[in-house]
Amino acid sequence: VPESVVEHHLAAASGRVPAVPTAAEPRDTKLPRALNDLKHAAPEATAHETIDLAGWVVGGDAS
Amino acid sequence: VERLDGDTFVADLPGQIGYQPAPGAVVVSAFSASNRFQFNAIVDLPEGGDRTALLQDVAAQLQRPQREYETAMIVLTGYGPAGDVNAAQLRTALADGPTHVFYLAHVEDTRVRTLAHDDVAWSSSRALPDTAARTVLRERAAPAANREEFSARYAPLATATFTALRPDQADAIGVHAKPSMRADVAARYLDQLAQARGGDPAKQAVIAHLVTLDLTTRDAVVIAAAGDSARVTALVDVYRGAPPELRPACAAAAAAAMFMDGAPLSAVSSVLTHADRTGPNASLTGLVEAAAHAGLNGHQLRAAVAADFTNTLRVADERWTVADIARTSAAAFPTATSRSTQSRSSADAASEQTRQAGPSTRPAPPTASPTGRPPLER
Repeated sequence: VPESVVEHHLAAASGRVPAVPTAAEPRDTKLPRALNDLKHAAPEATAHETIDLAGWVVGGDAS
Repeated sequence: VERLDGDTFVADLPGQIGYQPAPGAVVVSAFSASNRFQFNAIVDLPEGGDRTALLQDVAAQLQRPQREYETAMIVLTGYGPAGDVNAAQLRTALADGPTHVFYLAHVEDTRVRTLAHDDVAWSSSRALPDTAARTVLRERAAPAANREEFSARYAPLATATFTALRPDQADAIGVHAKPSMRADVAARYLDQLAQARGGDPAKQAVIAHLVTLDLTTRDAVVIAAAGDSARVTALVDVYRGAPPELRPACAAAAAAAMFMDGAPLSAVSSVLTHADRTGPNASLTGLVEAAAHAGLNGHQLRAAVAADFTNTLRVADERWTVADIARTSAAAFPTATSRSTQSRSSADAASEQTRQAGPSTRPAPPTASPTGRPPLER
């Protein structure tokens, strides 16, 4: 068990990740890297904000 | 609950991400069934050629976060002249995945046109709303012109803004301070650095010293920073202004705090470039790198880490107390045996290594910091 709590949790979380291609190591190494960034929402932001795309529906106001 | 119209959300994307997406980029924005924002992924597509394999690869990478978040809707925003085609092609690739509702936006300069789910024709173009006020209200930095410029904001400064603590100052916060007190100092100083925003070399030097003291104290700094973006910025400033010998450890700690605060992968990667690869923080560097690139949600990790750390700190305090009693006894009754065999915590050892001298009695409080203020000023 790592002495560091932060390292312990990072290792545990990474260990749960299945062997999926990552941004650093695309599944097919012949491919250029395309997924270049990822940003998760802060929990407090998601609690206070929703998107309303009704205005994008042509000629309608369905949400 | 604030309801954000689609145009404002799209206009605000550079502010959310930190930089203006390049022409050819498609931003994948995921939402829950109740239309709450989940994550942004930035995909850079090359011009022309057969991009089927590349698009399928991106779609595969995005499946896990979609499943974890239970994404119900995706907005694809394509930038530049081919933004509409790029967004539509990525939608086709993503349609085999777990999400089935897609809205598309095409941004060129300051105008947008959109294609709603179930619609077949793009709207006419319209001006994007101005979101400068939103950036100010959220206390965000103005978005950089591109990813390179954004990453440069996380590069070390050419000249260090502080120097390492003197040995007597280091001892005051090292061997002679309880781990919980070090954690308390870390939280307070980061808070004060965050509020001052101008930088305080004396406090920055203390934070850098705490990062290098031992793993528990370093974790205390990371956890104290990770719950608040302003404190994370303060820790990033410490890393950027650190003298070269302290930079790798500070970079590793800053990257960990950034990851747990939900910073974009590009920013975390930029800091990791300067992080410890061979020393006592190399493990942290590697783990943050793996977690960030795997797209793990640092926010979720933060809560679990903080919950466990309270107990870790309590155990560290108990060990420190035992070691302190041994130290005090050794100082009161100095013998060759007590000097060589007394129990010491790793913090003591690290501090002693810094001092490069034998065990000492409790020194007088430090008299001056690099700026003339004591390092433990409250």
